[in-house]
Amino acid sequence: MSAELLNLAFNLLAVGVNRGLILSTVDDMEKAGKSPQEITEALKALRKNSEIEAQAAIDAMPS
Amino acid sequence: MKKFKYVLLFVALLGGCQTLGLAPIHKAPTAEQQAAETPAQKAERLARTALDEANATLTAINITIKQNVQAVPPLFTKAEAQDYLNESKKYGKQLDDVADLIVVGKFGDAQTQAAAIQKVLTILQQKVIAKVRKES
Repeated sequence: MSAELLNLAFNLLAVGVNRGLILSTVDDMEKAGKSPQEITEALKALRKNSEIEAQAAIDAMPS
Repeated sequence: MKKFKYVLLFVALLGGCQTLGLAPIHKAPTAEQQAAETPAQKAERLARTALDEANATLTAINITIKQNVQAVPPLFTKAEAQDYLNESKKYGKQLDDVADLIVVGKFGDAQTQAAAIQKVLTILQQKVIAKVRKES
């Protein structure tokens, strides 16, 4: 079994898990009766927050 | 052990594919709901779905960038990670423009642009994953 192929599978799974968490959040909002507009706004906020967190992680790296 | 690795790979790919590309962000409307929709409502729903899909994909990419930056050792150099995030932010701004189109009722344009951005995001996602693969 190629180590690269196994690594790729895990990387795909990691990205998939991340998207799965987002889908779960959307599902919860739909079940809670949130409007499509509210869900769109929430996803935008989630995206902006993920940008801020990724930037903070990069800023914390040594130069 | 070899057999176990194949099973693990299969499960990982299945899980990755299921959540990555095959699972839609919203449940499809029922036949009754579709019948009750006006053409404008349908156009808005399709535009909003395309925008939501793209925002979700971009969020997942950002989370992956953060995770790989925080890995020990980090899987990106600082410059690489910043390049990926800068590209992500660029598409994020474009998605904000798409949201503005929906607000003013330009649902067709919004859907088209969101779908085009989603295609590009798929390529960005592959770049992020491929870079990690090379360094591992």
